Amino acid sequence: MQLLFLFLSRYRTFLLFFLLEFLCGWLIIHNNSYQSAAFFSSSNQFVAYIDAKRNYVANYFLLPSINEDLSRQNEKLMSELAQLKIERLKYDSSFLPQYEYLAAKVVNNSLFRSRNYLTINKGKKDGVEVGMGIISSLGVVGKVKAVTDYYATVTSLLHNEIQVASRIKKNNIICTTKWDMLDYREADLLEVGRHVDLKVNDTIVSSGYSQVYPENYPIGIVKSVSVNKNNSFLKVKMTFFTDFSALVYVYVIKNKRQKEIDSLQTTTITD
Amino acid sequence: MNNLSSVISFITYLAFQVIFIRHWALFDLAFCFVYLSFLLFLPLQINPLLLLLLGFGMGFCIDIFYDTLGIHAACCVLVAYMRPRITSLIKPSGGYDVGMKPYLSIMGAQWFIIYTLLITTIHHLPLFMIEAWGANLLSFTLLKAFLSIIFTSSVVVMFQYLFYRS
Repeated sequence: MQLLFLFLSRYRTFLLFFLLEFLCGWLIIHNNSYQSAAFFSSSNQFVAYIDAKRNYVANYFLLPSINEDLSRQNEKLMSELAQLKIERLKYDSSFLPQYEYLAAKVVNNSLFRSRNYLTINKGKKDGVEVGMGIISSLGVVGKVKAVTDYYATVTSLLHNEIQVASRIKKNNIICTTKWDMLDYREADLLEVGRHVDLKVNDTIVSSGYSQVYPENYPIGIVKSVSVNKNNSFLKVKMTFFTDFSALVYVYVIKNKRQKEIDSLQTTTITD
Repeated sequence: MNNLSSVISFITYLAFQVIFIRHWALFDLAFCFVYLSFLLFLPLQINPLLLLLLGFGMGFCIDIFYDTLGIHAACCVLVAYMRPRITSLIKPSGGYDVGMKPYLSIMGAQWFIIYTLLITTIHHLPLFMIEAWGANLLSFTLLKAFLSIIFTSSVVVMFQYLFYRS
Protein backbone atom coordinates (compact mmCIF):
# COMPACT_ATOMS: atom_id res chain seq x y z
CA MET A 1 0.00 0.00 0.00
CA GLN A 2 2.79 2.36 0.95
CA LEU A 3 4.57 1.44 -2.27
CA LEU A 4 1.48 2.33 -4.20
CA PHE A 5 1.31 5.79 -2.62
CA LEU A 6 5.01 6.25 -3.22
CA PHE A 7 4.51 5.31 -6.86
CA LEU A 8 1.52 7.65 -7.19
CA SER A 9 3.34 10.60 -5.67
CA ARG A 10 6.50 10.04 -7.65
CA TYR A 11 4.71 9.85 -10.97
CA ARG A 12 1.91 12.27 -10.17
CA THR A 13 2.83 14.69 -12.97
CA PHE A 14 2.94 11.96 -15.55
CA LEU A 15 -0.28 10.42 -14.26
CA LEU A 16 -2.12 13.73 -14.41
CA PHE A 17 -0.69 14.34 -17.88
CA PHE A 18 -1.86 10.91 -18.99
CA LEU A 19 -5.30 11.42 -17.45
CA LEU A 20 -5.81 14.81 -19.11
CA GLU A 21 -4.64 13.57 -22.50
CA PHE A 22 -6.98 10.61 -22.16
CA LEU A 23 -9.83 13.01 -21.42
CA CYS A 24 -8.91 15.13 -24.47
CA GLY A 25 -8.77 12.05 -26.70
CA TRP A 26 -12.18 11.01 -25.45
CA LEU A 27 -13.55 14.51 -26.10
CA ILE A 28 -12.17 14.55 -29.65
CA ILE A 29 -13.65 11.19 -30.54
CA HIS A 30 -16.90 11.76 -28.70
CA ASN A 31 -17.42 15.14 -30.32
CA ASN A 32 -16.79 13.77 -33.77
CA SER A 33 -19.28 10.95 -33.55
CA TYR A 34 -22.09 12.64 -31.64
CA GLN A 35 -23.80 15.79 -32.73
CA SER A 36 -25.25 16.63 -29.35
CA ALA A 37 -22.38 18.54 -27.78
CA ALA A 38 -24.11 21.83 -28.39
CA PHE A 39 -23.14 23.27 -25.06
CA PHE A 40 -19.38 23.15 -25.67
CA SER A 41 -19.55 24.50 -29.19
CA SER A 42 -19.91 27.90 -30.77
CA SER A 43 -23.70 27.79 -30.51
CA ASN A 44 -23.31 28.13 -26.75
CA GLN A 45 -25.10 31.36 -25.74
CA PHE A 46 -22.11 33.15 -24.27
CA VAL A 47 -19.72 32.21 -27.05
CA ALA A 48 -22.25 33.15 -29.69
CA TYR A 49 -22.91 36.44 -27.94
CA ILE A 50 -19.23 37.37 -28.17
CA ASP A 51 -19.14 36.28 -31.79
CA ALA A 52 -22.22 38.35 -32.56
CA LYS A 53 -20.69 41.48 -30.98
CA ARG A 54 -17.44 40.96 -32.86
CA ASN A 55 -19.37 40.49 -36.05
CA TYR A 56 -21.40 43.62 -35.49
CA VAL A 57 -18.21 45.67 -35.80
CA ALA A 58 -16.62 43.61 -38.55
CA ASN A 59 -19.74 43.79 -40.72
CA TYR A 60 -19.36 47.50 -41.37
CA PHE A 61 -16.43 46.67 -43.57
CA LEU A 62 -18.52 44.22 -45.57
CA LEU A 63 -21.43 46.55 -46.33
CA PRO A 64 -20.60 47.15 -50.01
CA SER A 65 -20.57 43.47 -50.83
CA ILE A 66 -23.73 42.88 -48.78
CA ASN A 67 -25.54 45.56 -50.74
CA GLU A 68 -24.43 44.05 -53.98
CA ASP A 69 -25.54 40.63 -52.83
CA LEU A 70 -28.97 41.89 -51.76
CA SER A 71 -29.60 43.82 -54.90
CA ARG A 72 -28.71 40.81 -57.01
CA GLN A 73 -31.12 38.77 -54.96
CA ASN A 74 -33.86 41.35 -55.39
CA GLU A 75 -33.30 41.26 -59.08
CA LYS A 76 -33.68 37.51 -59.13
CA LEU A 77 -36.85 37.59 -57.04
CA MET A 78 -38.42 40.24 -59.20
CA SER A 79 -37.74 38.31 -62.33
CA GLU A 80 -39.25 35.21 -60.75
CA LEU A 81 -42.30 37.19 -59.69
CA ALA A 82 -42.75 38.48 -63.20
CA GLN A 83 -42.47 34.97 -64.55
CA LEU A 84 -45.11 33.77 -62.12
CA LYS A 85 -47.48 36.55 -63.04
CA ILE A 86 -47.27 35.52 -66.64
CA GLU A 87 -47.73 31.85 -66.05
CA ARG A 88 -50.52 32.09 -63.44
CA LEU A 89 -50.16 28.52 -62.33
CA LYS A 90 -53.33 26.56 -61.74
CA TYR A 91 -53.99 25.70 -58.14
CA ASP A 92 -52.71 22.22 -57.48
CA SER A 93 -51.38 20.64 -54.28
CA SER A 94 -48.09 19.79 -55.93
CA PHE A 95 -47.53 23.48 -56.55
CA LEU A 96 -47.99 24.40 -52.91
CA PRO A 97 -44.64 25.52 -51.63
CA GLN A 98 -42.86 22.56 -50.07
CA TYR A 99 -40.07 24.62 -48.53
CA GLU A 100 -40.15 27.54 -46.16
CA TYR A 101 -37.19 29.88 -45.94
CA LEU A 102 -35.96 31.58 -42.80
CA ALA A 103 -33.36 34.33 -43.14
CA ALA A 104 -30.45 34.18 -40.67
CA LYS A 105 -27.26 36.08 -40.14
CA VAL A 106 -23.87 34.42 -39.95
CA VAL A 107 -22.11 35.39 -36.72
CA ASN A 108 -19.07 33.16 -37.04
CA ASN A 109 -17.45 31.33 -39.91
CA SER A 110 -14.28 29.37 -40.58
CA LEU A 111 -12.58 28.48 -43.87
CA PHE A 112 -9.17 27.01 -43.40
CA ARG A 113 -9.63 23.92 -41.31
CA SER A 114 -10.48 20.47 -42.56
CA ARG A 115 -13.81 20.66 -40.71
CA ASN A 116 -15.36 24.07 -41.01
CA TYR A 117 -18.45 25.30 -39.20
CA LEU A 118 -20.49 28.47 -39.13
CA THR A 119 -22.77 29.86 -36.46
CA ILE A 120 -26.06 31.57 -37.30
CA ASN A 121 -28.33 33.75 -35.17
CA LYS A 122 -31.46 31.62 -35.43
CA GLY A 123 -32.17 28.69 -33.12
CA LYS A 124 -34.75 26.40 -31.60
CA LYS A 125 -37.07 29.31 -30.78
CA ASP A 126 -37.22 30.19 -34.48
CA GLY A 127 -37.98 26.60 -35.43
CA VAL A 128 -34.51 25.58 -36.55
CA GLU A 129 -33.86 21.86 -36.14
CA VAL A 130 -30.81 19.64 -36.49
CA GLY A 131 -30.42 18.39 -40.06
CA MET A 132 -32.03 21.35 -41.84
CA GLY A 133 -30.30 22.66 -44.94
CA ILE A 134 -28.68 26.09 -45.22
CA ILE A 135 -28.39 28.02 -48.49
CA SER A 136 -27.21 31.46 -49.46
CA SER A 137 -28.71 33.49 -52.25
CA LEU A 138 -25.98 32.16 -54.52
CA GLY A 139 -25.83 28.48 -53.64
CA VAL A 140 -25.83 25.67 -51.12
CA VAL A 141 -23.99 26.37 -47.84
CA GLY A 142 -24.39 23.47 -45.39
CA LYS A 143 -26.47 21.63 -42.85
CA VAL A 144 -27.46 22.38 -39.23
CA LYS A 145 -25.33 20.42 -36.76
CA ALA A 146 -26.53 21.62 -33.36
CA VAL A 147 -29.09 24.13 -32.07
CA THR A 148 -29.57 26.10 -28.89
CA ASP A 149 -32.44 28.47 -28.15
CA TYR A 150 -31.20 31.40 -30.20
CA TYR A 151 -28.25 30.13 -32.23
CA ALA A 152 -27.30 27.17 -34.39
CA THR A 153 -24.01 25.64 -35.48
CA VAL A 154 -23.90 24.71 -39.15
CA THR A 155 -21.57 22.18 -40.76
CA SER A 156 -20.44 23.98 -43.88
CA LEU A 157 -19.82 22.27 -47.22
CA LEU A 158 -16.15 22.87 -46.37
CA HIS A 159 -16.06 19.75 -44.20
CA ASN A 160 -14.28 16.54 -45.03
CA GLU A 161 -17.30 14.38 -44.25
CA ILE A 162 -20.05 16.32 -46.02
CA GLN A 163 -21.30 15.23 -49.42
CA VAL A 164 -24.15 16.75 -51.40
CA ALA A 165 -26.40 14.77 -53.74
CA SER A 166 -26.06 16.75 -56.96
CA ARG A 167 -26.91 16.61 -60.63
CA ILE A 168 -25.59 18.12 -63.82
CA LYS A 169 -28.14 20.73 -64.78
CA LYS A 170 -28.13 20.26 -68.55
CA ASN A 171 -28.65 16.48 -68.69
CA ASN A 172 -29.90 15.58 -65.18
CA ILE A 173 -27.15 13.03 -64.55
CA ILE A 174 -26.65 12.57 -60.81
CA CYS A 175 -23.32 12.94 -59.07
CA THR A 176 -21.87 13.88 -55.67
CA THR A 177 -20.19 17.10 -54.55
CA LYS A 178 -17.42 16.86 -51.97
CA TRP A 179 -15.00 19.56 -50.83
CA ASP A 180 -11.39 19.01 -51.96
CA MET A 181 -10.02 20.15 -48.56
CA LEU A 182 -7.43 22.39 -50.21
CA ASP A 183 -9.21 25.58 -51.18
CA TYR A 184 -12.45 27.05 -49.83
CA ARG A 185 -13.50 28.01 -53.33
CA GLU A 186 -13.32 24.57 -54.91
CA ALA A 187 -14.80 21.09 -54.66
CA ASP A 188 -14.51 17.71 -56.37
CA LEU A 189 -17.37 16.20 -58.31
CA LEU A 190 -17.50 12.46 -57.70
CA GLU A 191 -19.18 9.56 -59.46
CA VAL A 192 -19.37 11.09 -62.91
CA GLY A 193 -18.87 8.26 -65.44
CA ARG A 194 -16.41 8.67 -68.31
CA HIS A 195 -19.19 8.48 -70.88
CA VAL A 196 -20.92 11.56 -69.47
CA ASP A 197 -20.83 14.69 -71.58
CA LEU A 198 -19.49 17.25 -69.10
CA LYS A 199 -17.79 20.46 -70.12
CA VAL A 200 -16.11 23.34 -68.36
CA ASN A 201 -18.69 25.95 -67.19
CA ASP A 202 -21.52 23.43 -66.87
CA THR A 203 -23.70 24.19 -63.85
CA ILE A 204 -24.07 21.71 -60.98
CA VAL A 205 -27.28 21.84 -58.94
CA SER A 206 -28.66 19.91 -55.99
CA SER A 207 -30.65 16.82 -56.89
CA GLY A 208 -33.08 17.19 -54.00
CA TYR A 209 -32.91 13.46 -53.29
CA SER A 210 -31.67 14.05 -49.77
CA GLN A 211 -34.66 16.38 -49.08
CA VAL A 212 -32.26 18.72 -47.27
CA TYR A 213 -31.87 21.21 -50.10
CA PRO A 214 -34.53 22.17 -52.63
CA GLU A 215 -34.25 20.53 -56.01
CA ASN A 216 -32.20 22.33 -58.67
CA TYR A 217 -30.61 24.78 -56.27
CA PRO A 218 -27.22 25.88 -57.64
CA ILE A 219 -24.03 24.52 -56.06
CA GLY A 220 -21.20 25.36 -58.41
CA ILE A 221 -19.75 25.54 -61.87
CA VAL A 222 -17.34 23.05 -63.47
CA LYS A 223 -13.79 24.38 -63.54
CA SER A 224 -11.84 21.52 -65.12
CA VAL A 225 -12.54 18.00 -66.41
CA SER A 226 -9.87 15.35 -66.92
CA VAL A 227 -9.90 11.64 -67.63
CA ASN A 228 -8.35 9.40 -65.02
CA LYS A 229 -6.79 6.37 -66.75
CA ASN A 230 -7.10 3.93 -63.85
CA ASN A 231 -10.62 4.86 -62.99
CA SER A 232 -13.99 4.64 -64.67
CA PHE A 233 -14.97 8.08 -63.37
CA LEU A 234 -14.00 11.52 -64.60
CA LYS A 235 -11.85 13.74 -62.43
CA VAL A 236 -13.84 16.96 -62.08
CA LYS A 237 -13.04 20.16 -60.21
CA MET A 238 -15.78 22.70 -59.60
CA THR A 239 -15.99 26.21 -58.19
CA PHE A 240 -18.64 26.97 -55.55
CA PHE A 241 -21.18 29.66 -56.37
CA THR A 242 -21.25 30.59 -52.69
CA ASP A 243 -18.33 32.71 -51.60
CA PHE A 244 -17.73 31.18 -48.16
CA SER A 245 -15.31 33.95 -47.25
CA ALA A 246 -18.03 36.60 -47.51
CA LEU A 247 -21.10 34.87 -46.09
CA VAL A 248 -23.36 37.29 -44.24
CA TYR A 249 -26.99 36.30 -44.77
CA VAL A 250 -28.13 32.74 -45.26
CA TYR A 251 -31.49 30.96 -45.38
CA VAL A 252 -32.54 28.02 -43.26
CA ILE A 253 -34.72 25.60 -45.23
CA LYS A 254 -37.68 23.97 -43.55
CA ASN A 255 -39.01 21.09 -45.56
CA LYS A 256 -42.70 20.92 -44.73
CA ARG A 257 -43.00 17.40 -46.10
CA GLN A 258 -39.91 15.99 -44.38
CA LYS A 259 -41.94 13.89 -41.93
CA GLU A 260 -44.15 12.51 -44.66
CA ILE A 261 -41.20 11.54 -46.84
CA ASP A 262 -39.29 10.06 -43.90
CA SER A 263 -42.20 7.90 -42.81
CA LEU A 264 -42.74 6.71 -46.38
CA GLN A 265 -39.07 5.79 -46.70
CA THR A 266 -39.06 3.96 -43.36
CA THR A 267 -42.07 1.92 -44.49
CA THR A 268 -40.22 0.91 -47.63
CA ILE A 269 -37.18 -0.11 -45.63
CA THR A 270 -39.14 -2.27 -43.18
CA ASP A 271 -40.82 -4.03 -46.10
CA MET B 1 -0.74 39.26 -6.57
CA ASN B 2 1.01 36.78 -8.79
CA ASN B 3 -2.15 34.69 -9.00
CA LEU B 4 -4.18 37.71 -9.97
CA SER B 5 -1.81 38.65 -12.77
CA SER B 6 -1.95 35.06 -14.03
CA VAL B 7 -5.73 35.18 -14.14
CA ILE B 8 -5.65 38.50 -15.98
CA SER B 9 -3.17 37.20 -18.52
CA PHE B 10 -5.27 34.03 -19.01
CA ILE B 11 -8.35 36.09 -19.83
CA THR B 12 -6.46 38.62 -21.94
CA TYR B 13 -4.78 36.01 -24.14
CA LEU B 14 -7.98 34.01 -24.49
CA ALA B 15 -9.99 37.09 -25.50
CA PHE B 16 -7.28 38.38 -27.81
CA GLN B 17 -7.03 35.01 -29.54
CA VAL B 18 -10.73 34.42 -30.10
CA ILE B 19 -11.76 37.99 -30.89
CA PHE B 20 -8.93 39.22 -33.07
CA ILE B 21 -6.56 36.49 -34.15
CA ARG B 22 -9.00 33.68 -34.86
CA HIS B 23 -9.63 34.86 -38.37
CA TRP B 24 -6.07 35.61 -39.33
CA ALA B 25 -4.65 33.34 -42.00
CA LEU B 26 -1.54 34.42 -43.87
CA PHE B 27 -1.69 33.20 -47.49
CA ASP B 28 -4.58 30.94 -46.38
CA LEU B 29 -1.90 28.68 -44.88
CA ALA B 30 -0.31 30.10 -41.75
CA PHE B 31 -2.29 30.50 -38.52
CA CYS B 32 -1.40 32.25 -35.33
CA PHE B 33 -2.07 30.65 -31.95
CA VAL B 34 -0.61 33.37 -29.78
CA TYR B 35 -2.61 32.23 -26.74
CA LEU B 36 0.30 29.84 -26.30
CA SER B 37 2.16 32.82 -24.79
CA PHE B 38 0.11 32.31 -21.67
CA LEU B 39 1.74 28.92 -21.09
CA LEU B 40 5.13 30.15 -22.29
CA PHE B 41 5.38 33.09 -19.91
CA LEU B 42 4.30 31.41 -16.67
CA PRO B 43 7.08 31.45 -14.02
CA LEU B 44 9.80 28.83 -14.43
CA GLN B 45 9.35 27.32 -10.96
CA ILE B 46 5.61 26.78 -11.30
CA ASN B 47 4.19 23.55 -9.88
CA PRO B 48 4.05 21.05 -12.79
CA LEU B 49 0.60 19.84 -11.74
CA LEU B 50 -0.79 23.37 -11.77
CA LEU B 51 0.87 23.95 -15.15
CA LEU B 52 -0.90 20.88 -16.58
CA LEU B 53 -4.28 22.01 -15.26
CA LEU B 54 -3.79 25.55 -16.60
CA GLY B 55 -2.79 24.10 -19.98
CA PHE B 56 -5.91 21.99 -20.08
CA GLY B 57 -8.10 24.93 -19.04
CA MET B 58 -6.68 27.24 -21.70
CA GLY B 59 -6.90 24.62 -24.45
CA PHE B 60 -10.45 23.73 -23.48
CA CYS B 61 -11.62 27.36 -23.59
CA ILE B 62 -10.00 27.85 -26.99
CA ASP B 63 -11.65 24.66 -28.22
CA ILE B 64 -15.10 25.93 -27.35
CA PHE B 65 -14.60 28.94 -29.59
CA TYR B 66 -12.92 26.99 -32.38
CA ASP B 67 -15.47 24.13 -32.35
CA THR B 68 -12.64 21.63 -32.04
CA LEU B 69 -13.46 20.09 -28.68
CA GLY B 70 -10.39 18.37 -27.22
CA ILE B 71 -7.84 19.14 -29.92
CA HIS B 72 -6.33 22.35 -28.52
CA ALA B 73 -6.68 20.98 -24.99
CA ALA B 74 -4.68 17.87 -25.92
CA CYS B 75 -1.88 19.94 -27.47
CA CYS B 76 -1.78 22.41 -24.57
CA VAL B 77 -1.54 19.60 -22.03
CA LEU B 78 1.34 18.17 -24.06
CA VAL B 79 3.04 21.57 -24.01
CA ALA B 80 2.50 21.91 -20.26
CA TYR B 81 3.98 18.47 -19.72
CA MET B 82 7.02 19.09 -21.91
CA ARG B 83 7.79 22.64 -20.72
CA PRO B 84 9.81 21.73 -17.59
CA ARG B 85 11.77 19.18 -19.65
CA ILE B 86 12.57 21.76 -22.29
CA THR B 87 13.63 24.43 -19.84
CA SER B 88 16.00 21.97 -18.13
CA LEU B 89 17.31 20.88 -21.55
CA ILE B 90 18.28 24.42 -22.56
CA LYS B 91 19.36 25.51 -19.08
CA PRO B 92 22.03 28.22 -19.15
CA SER B 93 25.37 27.29 -17.49
CA GLY B 94 24.51 29.15 -14.27
CA GLY B 95 21.09 27.51 -13.89
CA TYR B 96 17.90 29.44 -13.20
CA ASP B 97 17.49 31.87 -10.32
CA VAL B 98 14.55 31.56 -7.94
CA GLY B 99 11.46 33.38 -9.17
CA MET B 100 12.87 33.82 -12.67
CA LYS B 101 10.41 34.31 -15.50
CA PRO B 102 11.02 33.07 -19.05
CA TYR B 103 11.02 36.53 -20.63
CA LEU B 104 13.20 37.68 -23.47
CA SER B 105 14.55 40.62 -21.48
CA ILE B 106 15.66 38.32 -18.67
CA MET B 107 16.81 35.22 -20.51
CA GLY B 108 18.32 36.79 -23.63
CA ALA B 109 17.20 36.57 -27.25
CA GLN B 110 18.96 33.33 -28.17
CA TRP B 111 17.55 31.33 -25.26
CA PHE B 112 14.09 32.78 -25.73
CA ILE B 113 13.86 32.07 -29.46
CA ILE B 114 14.99 28.45 -29.07
CA TYR B 115 12.50 28.04 -26.22
CA THR B 116 9.64 29.52 -28.24
CA LEU B 117 10.39 27.51 -31.36
CA LEU B 118 10.57 24.23 -29.43
CA ILE B 119 7.30 24.85 -27.58
CA THR B 120 5.41 26.02 -30.66
CA THR B 121 6.61 22.98 -32.59
CA ILE B 122 5.41 20.67 -29.83
CA HIS B 123 2.04 22.42 -29.92
CA HIS B 124 1.49 22.93 -33.66
CA LEU B 125 2.63 19.60 -35.12
CA PRO B 126 0.14 17.43 -33.19
CA LEU B 127 -2.51 20.15 -33.57
CA PHE B 128 -2.46 20.07 -37.35
CA MET B 129 -2.05 16.30 -37.49
CA ILE B 130 -5.07 15.66 -35.26
CA GLU B 131 -7.06 18.29 -37.07
CA ALA B 132 -6.39 16.71 -40.50
CA TRP B 133 -7.30 13.34 -38.96
CA GLY B 134 -5.36 11.10 -41.31
CA ALA B 135 -2.26 10.92 -43.44
CA ASN B 136 -3.68 11.95 -46.80
CA LEU B 137 -2.61 15.48 -47.70
CA LEU B 138 0.27 14.94 -45.25
CA SER B 139 2.64 17.29 -47.03
CA PHE B 140 -0.04 20.00 -47.11
CA THR B 141 -0.65 19.57 -43.38
CA LEU B 142 3.07 19.71 -42.62
CA LEU B 143 3.43 22.84 -44.73
CA LYS B 144 0.59 24.50 -42.80
CA ALA B 145 2.14 23.44 -39.49
CA PHE B 146 5.60 24.68 -40.47
CA LEU B 147 4.38 28.10 -41.63
CA SER B 148 2.19 28.45 -38.56
CA ILE B 149 5.12 27.66 -36.26
CA ILE B 150 7.05 30.53 -37.83
CA PHE B 151 4.03 32.84 -37.70
CA THR B 152 3.14 32.14 -34.08
CA SER B 153 6.77 32.31 -32.90
CA SER B 154 7.28 35.66 -34.60
CA VAL B 155 4.19 37.11 -32.95
CA VAL B 156 5.25 35.73 -29.55
CA VAL B 157 8.69 37.34 -29.89
CA MET B 158 7.07 40.58 -31.05
CA PHE B 159 4.84 40.53 -27.96
CA GLN B 160 7.93 40.23 -25.80
CA TYR B 161 9.47 43.31 -27.36
CA LEU B 162 6.20 45.24 -27.13
CA PHE B 163 4.80 44.40 -23.71
CA TYR B 164 7.48 42.73 -21.58
CA ARG B 165 10.38 45.14 -21.82
CA SER B 166 12.38 45.48 -18.65
